[in-house]
Amino acid sequence: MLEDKLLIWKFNRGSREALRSIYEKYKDDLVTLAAALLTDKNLAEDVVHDVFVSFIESARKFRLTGSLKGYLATCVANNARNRIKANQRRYGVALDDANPAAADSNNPEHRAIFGENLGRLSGALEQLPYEQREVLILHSYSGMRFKKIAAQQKVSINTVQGRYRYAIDKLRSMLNGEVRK
Amino acid sequence: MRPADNINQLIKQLQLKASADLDKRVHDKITKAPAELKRKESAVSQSNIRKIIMKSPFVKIAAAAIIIIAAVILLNPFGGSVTWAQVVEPILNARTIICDMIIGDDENNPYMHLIIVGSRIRRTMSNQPGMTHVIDTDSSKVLVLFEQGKTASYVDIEGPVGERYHNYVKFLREVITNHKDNYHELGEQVIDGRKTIVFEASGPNESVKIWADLKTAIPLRIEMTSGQMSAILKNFEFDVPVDESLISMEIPAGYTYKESEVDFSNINEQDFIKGLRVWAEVIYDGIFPENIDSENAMKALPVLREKLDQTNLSDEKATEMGMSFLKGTMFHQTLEFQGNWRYMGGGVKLGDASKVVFWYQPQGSSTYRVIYGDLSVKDVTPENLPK
Repeated sequence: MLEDKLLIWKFNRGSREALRSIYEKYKDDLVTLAAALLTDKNLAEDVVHDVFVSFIESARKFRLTGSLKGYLATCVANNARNRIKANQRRYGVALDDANPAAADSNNPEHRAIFGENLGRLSGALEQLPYEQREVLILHSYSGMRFKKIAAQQKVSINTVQGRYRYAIDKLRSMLNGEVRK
Repeated sequence: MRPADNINQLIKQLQLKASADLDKRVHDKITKAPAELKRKESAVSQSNIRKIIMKSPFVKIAAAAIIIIAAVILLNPFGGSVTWAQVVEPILNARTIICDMIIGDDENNPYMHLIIVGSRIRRTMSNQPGMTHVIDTDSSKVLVLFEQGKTASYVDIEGPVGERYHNYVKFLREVITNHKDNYHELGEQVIDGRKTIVFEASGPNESVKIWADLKTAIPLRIEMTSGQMSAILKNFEFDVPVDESLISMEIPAGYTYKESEVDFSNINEQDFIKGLRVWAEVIYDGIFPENIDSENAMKALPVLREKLDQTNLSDEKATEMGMSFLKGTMFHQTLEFQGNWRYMGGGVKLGDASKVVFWYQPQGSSTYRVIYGDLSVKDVTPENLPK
């Protein structure tokens, strides 16, 4: 945390090295987060790229009020959601039903991205409605609190907690189902 | 497969590596970004302001106050389907924009009426009738017109104050452009009897909410916060023909040119401390106010006027006190560019050396300057900074 504050302090004073350090420190986590949300690594890298471009443009104006990781994770989630919404507008699919590809937890693409075991998880995640997937990933992977997710999604904390419970139940059902196969 | 109860643990194990291609794209961007990173540097180092106006102390103070307080507002960026692109289009491309701007989030606050035509801004304020500003952002000059007495003055706003004006529309448009991939649609809402669609965009230091007419996509209202400040913009008109004379920098017929000097250059910590003393000693009867932002400064101006009227101070002394207040207001706004700051003086008694009123981090410093209730100042390391 202190290290991040120092990096931001330097970043706000025009240090490119600080910016590189921030990128190197968080790039893998952010790519993973975006890939888990979008279940597409190429798209995930585009999201992380765009987030850092915007971050660069915030030079000298940036003020860190929480954790830097949390801030960047929020940016990634916003960017990912906007891409999903853009798809939704284009194809007339509701956000809750936004399953970009024919979902299959045994999809080899997921195994290729995340490896055998986690590939199944990723495939199962893809079958969740986007809003539920987002809550689950932000909470379980990025460690974001329900309250913050609620503020970000502009819904009540009860709704967020409900989405989380639904997501866990569905994943449990899907993954247990696979075990039984 | 692991037991499903371990889903959370499983999710935490997800881990991808950023590709070499992404590394290259981001590092290239960083390498090419020095201009962006250094953009504000020159604005910070320049401070060369001069000149203004008039005879009576409060006319001078009020005229200067509008310039400075409005400059503070211009620090604030605001960005903006019906689409997001449709909604922000008139903001980005309109040749003329007319709107009202309220400082703070209270609809009852005083408002500025703005007519923006290219690099010219004509501005009047609801709480300062009879005074008009025409700002030329290209030359960093303000023409100040006083209806009573029919006098006119030019104010040079080069330096920190002018920089805010200079970047006004450009800055606004930059923020909207920067948020093009980072906005939320919040659904429909009826305001003033009109159906609107609402968008919200947020960045590291600002958030913007835009209400746009559901049929025409024309923005009807914008609420924005930036740093520790907020404002409301409404009553928009885009691309309305504007009479050239309204935004002319020439002194209108019937007005007499007057010149006086007020110096806002080199505003420093001592100016700020003097300003704090005026806040606590004169305006708030020995107590520091809840906040010292531009919204509160505007509300405090009539109180300051009343208090100065009640004193037997000479015009010269009253002017000096008013200017101290304004310089103090300006100081912490410049810190928006230069570093962190926090005001925490609400309710602290003037003279209480045990309570912190304000801290800030001077540009380039690893320590903080902390100002206490007795207006003494100490250097403090980050770990000892008051929470």
